[in-house]
Amino acid sequence: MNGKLPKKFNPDRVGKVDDLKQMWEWNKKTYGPQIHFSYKKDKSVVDITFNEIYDIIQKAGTAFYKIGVMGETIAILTETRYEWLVSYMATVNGNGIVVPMDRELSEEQILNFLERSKTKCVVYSGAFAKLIENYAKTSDRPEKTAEIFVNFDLEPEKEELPEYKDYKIYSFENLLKIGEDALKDGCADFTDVVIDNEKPCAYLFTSGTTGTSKAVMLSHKNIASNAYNAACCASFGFNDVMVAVLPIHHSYETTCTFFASSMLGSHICQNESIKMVMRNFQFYKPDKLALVPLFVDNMVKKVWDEIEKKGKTKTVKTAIKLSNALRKVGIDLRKKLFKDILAAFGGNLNAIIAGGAPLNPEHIKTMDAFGISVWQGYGITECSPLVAVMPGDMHLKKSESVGYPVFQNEVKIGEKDENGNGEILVKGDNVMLGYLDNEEATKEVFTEDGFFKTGDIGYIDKDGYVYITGRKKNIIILSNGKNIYPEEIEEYLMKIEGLKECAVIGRKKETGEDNITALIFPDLELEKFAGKEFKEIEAYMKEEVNNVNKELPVFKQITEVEVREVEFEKTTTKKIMRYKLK
Amino acid sequence: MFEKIKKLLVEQMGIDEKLIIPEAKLIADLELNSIELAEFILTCEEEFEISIKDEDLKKLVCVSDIVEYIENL
Repeated sequence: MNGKLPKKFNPDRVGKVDDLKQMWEWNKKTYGPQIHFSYKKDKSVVDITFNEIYDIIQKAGTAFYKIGVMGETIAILTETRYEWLVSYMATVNGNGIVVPMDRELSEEQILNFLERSKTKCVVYSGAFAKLIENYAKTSDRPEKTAEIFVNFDLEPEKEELPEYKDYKIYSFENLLKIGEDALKDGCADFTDVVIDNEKPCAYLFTSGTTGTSKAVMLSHKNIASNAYNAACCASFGFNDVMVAVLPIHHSYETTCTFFASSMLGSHICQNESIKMVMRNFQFYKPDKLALVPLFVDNMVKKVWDEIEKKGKTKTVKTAIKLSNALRKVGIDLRKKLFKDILAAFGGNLNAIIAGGAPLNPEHIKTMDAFGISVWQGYGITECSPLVAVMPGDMHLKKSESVGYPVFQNEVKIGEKDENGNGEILVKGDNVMLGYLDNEEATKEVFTEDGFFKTGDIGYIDKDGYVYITGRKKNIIILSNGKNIYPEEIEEYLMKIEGLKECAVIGRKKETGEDNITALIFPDLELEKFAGKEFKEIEAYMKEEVNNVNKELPVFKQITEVEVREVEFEKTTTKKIMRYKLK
Repeated sequence: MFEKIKKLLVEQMGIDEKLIIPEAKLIADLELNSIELAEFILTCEEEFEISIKDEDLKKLVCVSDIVEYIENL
């Protein structure tokens, strides 16, 4: 490794853990009576302590044993809530395999992933009851393996536990009762489990089409080591209040917001809907946040819009200059000077980790001037996910870097081009076991000497900091951290009647963000288009793309359409030459 | 309803009035991002005392989709 280890990276910050069971035991022992999770219910706030969460995990895990799913594959499909964390831990700490599902997937993708992962039990919230319970009762899907279903929001008296059918639907409330009774009777089958930290304990599906999406297999060792390393290297404080904003199934939110910060005694507050983000910042008053760059972009925009609305742009710019000058002589007045600005985010926010997509370095400087440090991080699901993070005192000096490699993972650059850029390679305890049932794909992403090939292109500077300059794969990365596989959107577009060929690309906007752009070549020889002007065909295609957009999650919607009169240039194997498309 | 939605888009989201026509796409034409769109929906919920589910957000592609959604509630 280049350079000296950053001062802020400290391996003794939290207890070293080898698996997630040890992690929660350490959390309970260290932070027991402190509040770990809060959520709103009937206009009041419910607080749950570390001790209470630990106890609920024991009940749920024991109940899984009693209903015959301990050690099996269990999928979770829900919005952010504490029951998600409980179900996750109850699964993996019984040597089972958890499948955290993306709630924005299409219904068919959800069912496909349940079958590919050979899920035995599905745990879900009321929002998905209709889909999952219809699936429970269907006999039309030969690949179906799920038999046990647990609904977080079902009233116990509405459970369906027919003896003569091949499915059972439990309420979460009753599940915990089953576990509680068994624990009282001395059942120790869950609590005494010895964890095998080398075996898979989680399958995480990557983005992509139903056919191309891969399931990343992670072990206890992968996730626990990464959570420990994130807690030691990210400069979050102890006992910080955080609002859980990002989708909970994503490894960034799971490992960083939930697991790493739990080891630092954090208090996590539920964000019940993307609509409520700003309100919840004001309500819960977070100290720290883990976000994707899109949120940082919005925060910066909001701050300047508000300042402009009040006609104070000049005053604030002068205050920034004054504050920056005073900081050079050791006087920090940011909290006082920018109190009104910080109030929009609750008033206590002092740091953000931003990862998942490139961040505008100017935003780091702007937020810092107001008193909020933005630390970039770099991760990939296959690495559990954190690979590098910015030490707390380096974000201005290294504002273009994504950070310094965290402990227990070695980062190097593969074959370099003339500018010194090459593929970023990673080896360490955080690197996945492989892709589920896909040896060929697994083989493709490892070098002969066992380094994982991230597909990201970049370089490492003389001090050891990592920089990303491009991507090898065909993915469009949005500022909300979402990876868009063009093939997935193309699959939807191909359903349009009269469309012959299409390609989806990311086109840079003035703001630097990528526009999801669909390039379409209609089948002009079709009878449907006979006698029609090209303009009419173009209008028809644009209208059809609008309809496709209604089937896609908001972040995947096509924002630009270009209808072509000539077909795409192809390779000899008749594949569209994507690299030529702009 | 269209005029009310238009007023909210201008006043709350700072969008140029001239761009707001029923067919204008919220993301592609009015350049709202997914977070801004979610915040605008919250504004609509409060203004019209309605509730729009998160899962329905994707159906709201054009200004007219919001108008129709609210009118059909």
